[in-house]
Amino acid sequence: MTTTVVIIIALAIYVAVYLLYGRRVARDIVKIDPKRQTPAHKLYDGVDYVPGKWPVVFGHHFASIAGAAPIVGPIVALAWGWVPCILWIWFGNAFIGAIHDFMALTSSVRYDGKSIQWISGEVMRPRVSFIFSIFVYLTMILVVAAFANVVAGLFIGTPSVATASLLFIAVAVLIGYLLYWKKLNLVAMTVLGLVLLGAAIALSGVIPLALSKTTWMVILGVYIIVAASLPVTILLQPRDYLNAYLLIAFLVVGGAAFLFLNGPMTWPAFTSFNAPAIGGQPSPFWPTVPLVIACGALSGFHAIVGSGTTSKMLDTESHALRIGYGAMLTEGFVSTLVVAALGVFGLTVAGVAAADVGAAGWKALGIGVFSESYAMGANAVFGMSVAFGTTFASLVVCAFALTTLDTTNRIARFAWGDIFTRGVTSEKTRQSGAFKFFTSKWVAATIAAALGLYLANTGELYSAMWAAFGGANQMLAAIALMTSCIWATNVLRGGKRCLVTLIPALFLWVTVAAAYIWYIITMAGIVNSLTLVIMGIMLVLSFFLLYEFIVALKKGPKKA
Amino acid sequence: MRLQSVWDLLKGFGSGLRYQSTEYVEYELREIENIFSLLLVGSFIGIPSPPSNISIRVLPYLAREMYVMGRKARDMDDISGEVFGLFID
Amino acid sequence: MGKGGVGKTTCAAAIALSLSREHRTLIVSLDPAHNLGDVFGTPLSGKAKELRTGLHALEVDMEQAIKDYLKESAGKLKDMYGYLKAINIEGYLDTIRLSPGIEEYATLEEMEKIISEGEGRYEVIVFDTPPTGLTLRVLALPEISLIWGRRLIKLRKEILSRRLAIEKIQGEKKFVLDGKEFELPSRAEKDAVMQELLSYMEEVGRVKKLQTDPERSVVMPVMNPDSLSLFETRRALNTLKSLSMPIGNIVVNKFSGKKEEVEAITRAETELGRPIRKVPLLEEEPVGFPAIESLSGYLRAEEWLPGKKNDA
Repeated sequence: MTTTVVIIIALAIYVAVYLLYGRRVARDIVKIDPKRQTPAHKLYDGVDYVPGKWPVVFGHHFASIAGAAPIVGPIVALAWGWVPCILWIWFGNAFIGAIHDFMALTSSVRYDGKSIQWISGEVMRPRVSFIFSIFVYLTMILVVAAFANVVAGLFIGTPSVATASLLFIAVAVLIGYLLYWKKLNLVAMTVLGLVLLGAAIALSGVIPLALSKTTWMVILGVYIIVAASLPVTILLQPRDYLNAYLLIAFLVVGGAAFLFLNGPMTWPAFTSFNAPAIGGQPSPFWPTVPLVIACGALSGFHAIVGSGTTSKMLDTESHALRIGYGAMLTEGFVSTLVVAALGVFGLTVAGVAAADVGAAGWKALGIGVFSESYAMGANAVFGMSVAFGTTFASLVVCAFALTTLDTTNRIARFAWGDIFTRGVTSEKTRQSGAFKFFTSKWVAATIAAALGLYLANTGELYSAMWAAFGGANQMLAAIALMTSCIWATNVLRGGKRCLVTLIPALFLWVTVAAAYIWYIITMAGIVNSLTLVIMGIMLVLSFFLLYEFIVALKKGPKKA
Repeated sequence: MRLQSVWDLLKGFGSGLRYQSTEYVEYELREIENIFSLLLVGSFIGIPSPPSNISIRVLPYLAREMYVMGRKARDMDDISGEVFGLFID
Repeated sequence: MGKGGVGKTTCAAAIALSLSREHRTLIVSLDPAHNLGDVFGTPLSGKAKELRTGLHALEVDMEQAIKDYLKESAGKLKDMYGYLKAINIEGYLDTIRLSPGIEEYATLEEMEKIISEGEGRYEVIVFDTPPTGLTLRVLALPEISLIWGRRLIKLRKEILSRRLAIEKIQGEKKFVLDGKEFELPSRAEKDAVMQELLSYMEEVGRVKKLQTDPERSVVMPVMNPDSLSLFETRRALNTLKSLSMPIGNIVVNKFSGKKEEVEAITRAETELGRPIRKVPLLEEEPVGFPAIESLSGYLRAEEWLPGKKNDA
């Protein structure tokens, strides 16, 4: 089995699924109607609600959902061997993840651009919206924990990446200044930015920054707060922009490299069902793999992106499949590349034997192993220097991780506020000083960041934190799927055909709930008890969700 | 013809990325337009705000700002729609 | 300026009368409860009426002033009609009529109008003001307007700079509503809002300058010789000081020599820090020219100058 074969199979499966399955769902369940006015037309205002050509919307949507997660997930999941991973990436994506993205997008389009959270409160009961906010907030804490861990791990493992990342921030600030304050030409600044980035990567090997994990946590904490306080044009905006180009380069180089490499997959195809993937503990493939491989196969956050911004840009419903379903499949492709890279070079780079993988005492690979594997592939096909390639790949992961880290601040703030707005309805309480204090933006953001960093610092094994984050994210996906299912059944009146949504929704719920239970039992003593508490809260909330779901299902479509 | 489509696709993709470079700024712009409107309209309903004669003079030119204010008020129960999607990645 | 009933109008009339011998004087009543005509014994209207050589008088019709003010605003708002078409324009105007501050704006605007029209025609303008509360709010308006104006300009600049950044990257966008296109200005020179704000600041700035210039305006507080009157006058003076308005002598009206009154006056002298001019309580109400004449003897009107404009 070689990488070329794997990639070709991936492409074949995705294309087939798109044509045979996706189109069927679009036609029969969602009942795509090219003539129906989308919000971009209905609420057209020339500025925010503007229909875009589908490649534009695709580019935008894809850039929004792409991140570090499709890369990190597979790295951890390879403990089970590469075949189970790839099967989840292919089929979990096609039948659950991409459907989830697609239906979140289409339901949002039908509801005038409202978010999946709003729709969930609409098709089920308002309580679900409230639960949604809580999950978002908890996810934010765990995101900080998981991603801070990833970043710190990378920085410690490969100090030159730290330098490169800091230089990247500097470049972003410079470009931000030139582009938004001096208002220089966009194309010129893009080129300049990318050139500087290339230089930064090349130079970073010269001045590696080696610091301790706790120090990095503090630095990351400062970074999060500073990034949130600065005007967006100084850091966030330009950095986001440059990130997108990094991603393209990463994909193009990686895709071409491993497609043409034809390297043999030396990584074990299958180790055991209970390989120690998470936190070094035997982890049953089902139900835990969704917690490990989120983006790339299935991710709750995509629903938020699709229903938040993308739905306002859709020109016609017939583009929804390409964008909602298609973008997710593309991300699955990214994860496939990761598996391919590690499949070929993982053993060599990590210096382990095939028999060690997934054996007792197995610890999840460091992200750096992936970066180097990627670089070796690029080197084999394009002759790119391995050092440069490694730093480049690591930088891509870091850059996205950092983006995620500082945006959690803002999301946490809003989610927190949302929770209190929905949860506290008595006017009297709302006027009280305590309420005002708790809903102040600093409290919200600081708590999330502080807790997250604390968790990251105390957690030894990043895979455990990663799985916790995955758990939160996937329950969001479950809510989104449940919402889509109710929407299809009750509003669209799909009848029996809606099993296409019902089965994934229930399957996902059962899987995630079971995973929570497994996690709480197995990780006790290994992770911080705060993590367990959070998982516990989420488990309880999951049951509320199930109840609401069943209530809504029982209610059925309104009598015509 | 096929090649043209591919080129269009790439261009479109790039355009999508270009949007990424202004998302945050556009969001902030809407926020400030909202506040600006609220301040000016507030004078008519007794919220501490500029003297209403400023409002009356300036209001005729504020179609966009008033629209943003109205939309924000309408979408206040759907923060996810406005905010969350923007800030992921 | 003073509480209702202290005798502002009478004192104002007296001062105007005595000043009119040497200077062309206009006395204006801004008090919605007009007494000026009664005091002079002649009916007055919104047009300046010559009472004597060198003395003109008018009573501002506040109702009409407010109506005019609103009509002007309505004209401007009709431009927005497209956007507001869901709202009944007439109803909108009614809301404005009731919104807080309309009386103040209209009053201020009337004063500005009278001052600018009176430029050159009169050397002295005496304003008989409404009761203290309203008057203070009117006098504070320019300062408040300036503060808000600055804030709004700052916000507007933020809007414009962001629009410019977006425009440079994404090209110009037009805002579309119900098929109608609107420009989205991104530069101050092309932004009607900014231009309005700036010219507003300029106009208000001129008024503020005028009202704080001791060479050109002065406020004359009128009080009665009792503690309540004293308290109110003191509070009013504090406000006036914070607005940097020049304050003239203080008139204590209706003084009848009683012991408590003398005490009150002494306290007034120390607490208020301005010279006091006493005016006795007259046996008969001072109505008609002869009575006003005798009153003016107590007021030494010339002390109120230099100044082309006076408030009473």
